[in-house]
This record gives sequence, structure tokens and C-alpha cells, in this order.
Amino acid sequence: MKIELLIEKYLEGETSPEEECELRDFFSRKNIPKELVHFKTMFSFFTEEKLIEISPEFNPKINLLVEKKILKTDFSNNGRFLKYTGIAASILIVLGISFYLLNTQNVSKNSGNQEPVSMTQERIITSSSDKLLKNSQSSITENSASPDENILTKKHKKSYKSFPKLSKDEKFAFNKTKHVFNVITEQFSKIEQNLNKNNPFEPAMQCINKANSLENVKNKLIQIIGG
Amino acid sequence: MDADDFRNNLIPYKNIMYRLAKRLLKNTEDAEDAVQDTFARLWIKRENLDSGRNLQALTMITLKNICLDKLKSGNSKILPMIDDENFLPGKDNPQNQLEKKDIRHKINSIIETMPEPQKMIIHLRDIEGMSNDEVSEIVQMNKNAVKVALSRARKKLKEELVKQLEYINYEN
Repeated sequence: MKIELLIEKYLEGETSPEEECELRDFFSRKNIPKELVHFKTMFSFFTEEKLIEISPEFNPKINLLVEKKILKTDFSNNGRFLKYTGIAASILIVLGISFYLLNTQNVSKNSGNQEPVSMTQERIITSSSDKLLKNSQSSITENSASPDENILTKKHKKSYKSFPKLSKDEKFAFNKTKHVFNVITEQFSKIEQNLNKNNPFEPAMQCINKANSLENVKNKLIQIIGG
Repeated sequence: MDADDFRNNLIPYKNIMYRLAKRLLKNTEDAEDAVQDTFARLWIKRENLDSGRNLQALTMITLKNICLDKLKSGNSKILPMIDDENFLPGKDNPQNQLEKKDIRHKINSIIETMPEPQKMIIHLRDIEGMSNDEVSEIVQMNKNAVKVALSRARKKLKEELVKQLEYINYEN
């Protein structure tokens, strides 16, 4: 009687591990009622499954892991490695391009377009005019204008001097990206050449040309026969 | 945790890990890979592992996640369950052993048809003999859900087994 209650509880998932041990003990006996024989099969299956062990060849692999600290990372398993390197490469390319563009913009500004300089000039002029105003308010003398002019030219020179110079690092980065771009364009032109060399459509194109010429012959024949 | 701690505290879980991995991935090779990947992942994190924490649960959770990832990526070689375990030593004659092997195979394929959580729960509870608390920590489900899934799995296993046994008796 008690065993049936335990089975009921077991099927509801309400038995404790101790009660399950009891069940296991009961079903490891020899004389099991016929209607409960499937539980005997089940419990002996459970005990047998627990005897499965990993193959002995596995141990050396793990020892290698621990002793030599050689790691078999999951790069090879999921193809994740490729995916991430792809993403990293594309980010690098985008960064390279943006860096390149930024640098070329700076260069063009420095060489031809003097807009930023004129803007700084403007600022300086306005600030100096403010000063002028203040000065004129405090003491109305014309002498004050000339030092201000000096300041202006000095500042102008300074700002002009400081602007177009690229730092060593920037120059280096610029040259590097330029180099990378050259390599990339070279590779692309090579690929293009190769594609042109072994054009997969060439046989098809030849056939089409032949067909066209045959068509012409046919038309001529029709003309002759018709005529 | 240094190499010695790692060897003494984590490596002994290899068989229990292997059995769960095999239950989920259905073949020996993938199961071994999963165990190895788990150790590799834990080895990287070994600085942060201290023996105070529940290392078994941590190990099993890591393994479970690796197995489920493998299943999701569909990368696992879908091979039929290879019964590479030899006949168990015993007094039974070969005929009986063959029948036993057959019935084991059948029970395994019944469990195989269950959804992953049920599979893991019945495996950990009934084969490994873990408690409900341990199981709910590993499968990361609340205790009530574990109980429900366990009950479903056990009932299903019992019903299918009864059918199979009737069939075998009928054949004989």
C-alpha cells in the first residue's frame, strides 16, 4: 500500500530524494508485482545510465589544458571567430576611410581655403574693436589703436602659424592610411584584371555573336530568295 | 583558484557533465567537446572562482549553456545516438543483456522526444539523483516549474514504457 502512495507522489514530482531512494531499493528487489514491473525497468535504467563515464582519452586533453595552459578556444566551433573578425575588419575599414577623409579635408583647408583663418581674424577684430570701445570710453586717445593693431597682427600670425601644421602622429597616420588605400586599390585593380582575363561570360558572348552572324546570313538568304 | 584547485575541485565533475551533455547533444563526440569547452571557459575565469561558491551548479550551468548554444547553432553533427557503452558486466546471459540494451535504447529515445527542460530535469533528478533545489538552480527555472516539468516527464516516460513493454510481451 505504502509503495503505491509513494509512486503516486513520485509521478507528481513531489517525492524527496530520500523517498526516491526508498523506491529504488524497493524496485531492486526480486519479487515485484507484475503491474509494477515497468517501474523496475525504469529505476534500473536510471542506475545504469549513471555508470556512463567519459572516455579515458579525455583525461590527457584536460591535463594539457591545466598543465600547459594551452586552450582550445571555441573559435573553430561556431564560426564565431570569423564573424567577429569580419565585423572588426569592417570597423577598421570605416575608421580608415573616415580618418583619411578627415585628413584630406584638413589638408585642403590648409592649402587653398583660408576660411578658418579669416574667421579667427574676424573674431580677433571684433574682440579688438570691443577693446577699442572700452579704451575709447576710458580715455579718448588715438594712440590706443596702434598697440591693438600690433596685437591683431601678432595674433593673426600666431593663429596662422599654428593652424596648418600636422603633428608627427597625424602625419604618420595619414601616410599609413594612404598606404593602406593604395594597397587596397592595387588589389582591386588586380582582381578586375583577373576578372577581365577569365571572363566567365566569354563563351556565351561568342555564341551570341555567332548566332547574330548566322541571323544576318539567314536574313540575307531570305532577301535573296524573296527577291 | 590555481591549477591544483582546478584539478581537484572541477575536473571531478567531468562524468556528470558528460552525461548531461550526451543527453542533450545525443552523441559522444559533441558531448566531449562540450565538456572540454566548459573547462576551457572556466579555466579562463579561474581567477574569479573561489571554492566557497557552489562550483557544481556553476559548472553545470556553464555546460548547459554551451550545449544549448550548440543545439541552437545547429552545428552539432546530428548523428543517431551511438550506443558505444559495452554490455554491462553482470550474471545475465547474453540474451538477457541484449534485451536490456534494447530496452535502454528505447527509454533513451523516449527521453529524447521530450522538450529540453524536461529532458534536463528528469536526467538530473532521476539519473543523477539531485535535489529539486539543485536542479532548479542549474536549469534556471523556479521550483514550481521544475516540479511540473518533472511530473510531466515522469508520467510520459512511464506511459511510453508501459506501451513498449506491452509490445515486447505481445511479440514474445
